[in-house]
Amino acid sequence: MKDAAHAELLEHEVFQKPFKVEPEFESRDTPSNYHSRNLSKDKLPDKIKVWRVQNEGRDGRRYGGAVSRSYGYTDSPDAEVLVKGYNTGKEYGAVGVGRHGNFLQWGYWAPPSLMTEAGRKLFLNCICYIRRFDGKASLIRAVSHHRMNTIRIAPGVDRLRKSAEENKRITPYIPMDLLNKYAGDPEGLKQFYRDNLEFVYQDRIFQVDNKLESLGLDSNRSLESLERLISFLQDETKADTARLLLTRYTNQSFKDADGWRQWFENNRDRIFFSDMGGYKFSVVPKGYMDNK
Amino acid sequence: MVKCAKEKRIVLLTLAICLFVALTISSGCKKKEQYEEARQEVPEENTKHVSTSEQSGMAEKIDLRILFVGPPDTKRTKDFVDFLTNNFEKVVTVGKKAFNEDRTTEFDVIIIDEIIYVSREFLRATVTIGIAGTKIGDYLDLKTGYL
Repeated sequence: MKDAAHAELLEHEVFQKPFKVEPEFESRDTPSNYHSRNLSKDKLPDKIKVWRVQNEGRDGRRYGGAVSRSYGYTDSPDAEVLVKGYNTGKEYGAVGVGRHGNFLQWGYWAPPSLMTEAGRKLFLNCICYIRRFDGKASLIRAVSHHRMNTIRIAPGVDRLRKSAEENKRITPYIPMDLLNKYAGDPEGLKQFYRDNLEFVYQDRIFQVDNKLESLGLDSNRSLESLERLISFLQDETKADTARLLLTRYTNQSFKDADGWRQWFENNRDRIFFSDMGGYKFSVVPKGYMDNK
Repeated sequence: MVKCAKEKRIVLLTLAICLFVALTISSGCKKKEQYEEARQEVPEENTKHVSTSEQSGMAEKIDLRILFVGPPDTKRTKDFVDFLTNNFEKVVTVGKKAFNEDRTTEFDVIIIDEIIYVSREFLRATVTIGIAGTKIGDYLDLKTGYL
């Protein structure tokens, strides 16, 4: 990560108290990696508004700044992006300062004497902010890659195929049949994943859930799909597939449809789906969000 | 004339010896001062240091107790600790060898600036910094890792 942050998310509490953070904005060239890693169909502007968090320079080789990938960062309610870091390695929107459970990651490397005044105030505010999450375990562990990574790695289709062919111990994230089908056609593979994004899940490698599609559902991550899967348990023609999919997408196990129904109704408002948490529906414990 | 020249040489030799002695003493003092300065730059104890430096200009100190985990005896750690001390009621530093997560209960926030091991049961409010922080996030399978 570089020395600056994007001029966004400034309404968040960490910019307000106990110290009012007053960034000095500037316009900079959009880094080339933002363009090359842009997964959106919209083109990014050539200039981008940022504010300096720290002054340039490096404090020896042991320290450095870092951003976390943005895909999936907010797919569980225990995590939030506080600052989007201006970076030359990952995509636009990668996380410079973020929180997951009781951990707040300050991605900038500089010690306070090299921070700007606004940077120092934000740093102090972050320390005060994380205090309230003492004892708050994260709800999920990041055990899978977010589905957007299929589109991200699709351009490397030929490299992935070659590696997998040369070394059988390497498991490419994309199934071999797709790597063969789209050999020399990275855009085709990219489009395939765009078209099937709502059915992607990861079972060691990325899969597209045809079973879900066969039941007429349009997503594996919507609450509506979960509810319909539960309702299919009472339909003999769909019950087996529905049971399999409920096992795939939850960590729950109930004897019959009534058990599933009861679980769903009791937790409806607190159910979320996380790619990073293993492509599962989970329940936010009661009271977990109270001090948020 | 010869006697005068001899006396002159003796005087010059004496002056040179005096100068040499003076320079040696001066140099020794300077080295000693530098050593003491260097000692002042780092906490005397490698693993623990209760900071008591002056209050910052930012109104009153924030009522939080901070444990800073970073490599002891470094300018970087001192930089952080000085700043934190100026802004928080209590700041204690500890190196990774002496860090014990069971002994963090007397602090409100833990700030970690080097790669240390913490268990998955470690639920204290924690700020991790830079690359070290992402590595901790990685092994804990948190979203704060590189991903």
